[in-house]
Amino acid sequence: MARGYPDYQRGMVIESARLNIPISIAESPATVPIDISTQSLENVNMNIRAQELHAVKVLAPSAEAVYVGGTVTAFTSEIDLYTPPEDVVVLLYVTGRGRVMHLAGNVYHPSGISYVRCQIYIDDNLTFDDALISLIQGGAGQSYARQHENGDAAGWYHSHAIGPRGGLISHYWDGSKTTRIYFDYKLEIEFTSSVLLRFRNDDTTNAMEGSGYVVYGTYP
Amino acid sequence: MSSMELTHRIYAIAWSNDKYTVYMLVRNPKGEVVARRIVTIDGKFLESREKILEFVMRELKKRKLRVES
Repeated sequence: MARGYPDYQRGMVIESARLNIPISIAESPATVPIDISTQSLENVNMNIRAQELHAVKVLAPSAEAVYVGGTVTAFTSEIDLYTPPEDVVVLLYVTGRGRVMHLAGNVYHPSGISYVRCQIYIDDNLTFDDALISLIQGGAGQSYARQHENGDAAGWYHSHAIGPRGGLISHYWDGSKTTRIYFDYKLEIEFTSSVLLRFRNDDTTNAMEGSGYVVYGTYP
Repeated sequence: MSSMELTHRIYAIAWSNDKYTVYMLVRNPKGEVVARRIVTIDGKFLESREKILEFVMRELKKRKLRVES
């Protein structure tokens, strides 16, 4: 290896009955291919403290990437969404590292569902601040359960098909506005210090109500 | 090993529906992680991270858990 050359390449083959190899890498950027072909592998402990990590891939014998465990997933209990006019309801607040996978529930607002605003703070930054219906409808790439115009019959309308991301399942149209929605939407939020998920009642006269469910996980 | 020798380290706190969920790693005296522990505590949303941590630490102390800060 030439001195001063920016790239370092080292390799080794170890054939031993018992192995204990501590490896410390401080070079940057670095790619670390590890090929383990023993019949039985008990434990691989990796402690990665790099500020930036592009990917960690673990390939099973089938050469398919396998998921690396370590996530605790909890299903929150039913959240009461009752919110007076111009007030907020917090669905979930997590400090630590983790992810939010799912948001589901039903909301009723007598003044119309467009008054329900959804706010998502990821690592203390406001990353989404718009009507809830925009998130579950536009964000999911799903067409409205059914478009309405004034004069259409009041009643329940259901989505004909829901994609893998979920979205709006059904809604109640009272003849001039949508007052109740059922939704089940897959979120893909990763956070490193905190996440705050809340709904705001933007209306000045009526309270909103309903139930919410959030599925989230934390990383140790 | 008695449970008094174990220390807990909080790695995440979640709040939802008037309930805090505290996620902790449990370490033995050697410093090895031996378990993960999840505790739920009833309480109102306290808005700021500092207030939440203070409240959670107080509640965990009441439950006689040794928690690293």
